[in-house]
Amino acid sequence: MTLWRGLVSAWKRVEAGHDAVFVARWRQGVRREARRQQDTLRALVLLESLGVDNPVAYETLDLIPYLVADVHEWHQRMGRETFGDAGVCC
Amino acid sequence: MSPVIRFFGGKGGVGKTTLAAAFALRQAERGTRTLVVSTDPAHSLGDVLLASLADTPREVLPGLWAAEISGEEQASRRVAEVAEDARHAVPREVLPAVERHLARAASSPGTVESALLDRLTDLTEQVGTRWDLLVVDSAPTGHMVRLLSLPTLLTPWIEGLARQRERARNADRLVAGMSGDAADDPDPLLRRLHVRRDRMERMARRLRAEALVHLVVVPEHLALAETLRAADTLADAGLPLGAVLVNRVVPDEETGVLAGRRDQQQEVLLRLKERFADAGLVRVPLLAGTLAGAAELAVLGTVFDGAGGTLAG
Repeated sequence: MTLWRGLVSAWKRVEAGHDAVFVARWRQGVRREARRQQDTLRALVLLESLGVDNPVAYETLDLIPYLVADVHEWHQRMGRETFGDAGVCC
Repeated sequence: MSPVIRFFGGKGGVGKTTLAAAFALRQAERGTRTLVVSTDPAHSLGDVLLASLADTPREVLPGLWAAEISGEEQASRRVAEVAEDARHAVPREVLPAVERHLARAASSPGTVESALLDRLTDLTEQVGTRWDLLVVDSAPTGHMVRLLSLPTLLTPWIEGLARQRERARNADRLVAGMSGDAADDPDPLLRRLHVRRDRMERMARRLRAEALVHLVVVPEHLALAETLRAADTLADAGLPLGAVLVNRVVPDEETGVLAGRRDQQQEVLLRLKERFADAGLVRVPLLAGTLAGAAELAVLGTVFDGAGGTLAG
């Protein structure tokens, strides 16, 4: 039994080590790519707040709630409870 | 097949509403279920048909439906829809910001035209089922042309946006898969973007394949240059040009002041005939007064019947 438990805990350590060394690093890269993609979208909605006209504003109305929610999540992730400009977010 | 979407465009005051209504009425009389729509912010279709009209089409005569649509109204309807959907989709604390952004987007340049096209798309999607023919008494020339080339401008934009979003989601899903919580729910936003893009593409395709633009012009030197320009712009946008209607042509038997007028008109008519040899030219005689109501509009029916080509129906 102790041998079994020892084996299990050893495997778990190996798995954690593998995770830390390989998976985590890769995951970070993928996450960064995901954020970069989302940043582009975020920029689109923020540009309008800065006065850059969006010629297809009507066609992209559907995007607005999602993008504002996204900006919200983003500033919270950055450790700020409020965005600072009530015109853009909260 | 004869084109099932007809636009009547031209400068303000040349009589396009009257001609569009008369054409629609003639088609309805022949048994074609026809919807005539006014997009001009200063609506006069109701006055011509002697009926009070609204955004929703109503049958004003047997087989003839009519509506006056507005870009502003359509835009505020859609903003309300998006805001309502947002209430269920995003955190409550961001809702005020969402409403501010929506209001700003709704007031940005181009929105009214986009909204108008959106409403026209709604109606066009029912051509073939509810109606056989859609006649649009379109707003003045420049505005109309911009309106018609919108789908071509918008499609690549929405496509790019959908692609961005898809890529971001694929990366997200990969991360989620690795950490064990595979989220495979369909993206509601992406679905909506696709639906809108498909709709626009369908509309653009139909406009190119099933629409015809009839320019309405009065035979005067001032109007000539603009008509020729409008025709070029339409051709550039890939929209087929139908017969050109020349309104208020002084009849041969007139004398006095009107005879002088006629000589001037002949010059312009000659130039128009040269330019629109392929599309065809239909002359509408100058009448004593303006026409209103079914009985008076029917007078113009004979003009269309004698026209041949794209207007004879």
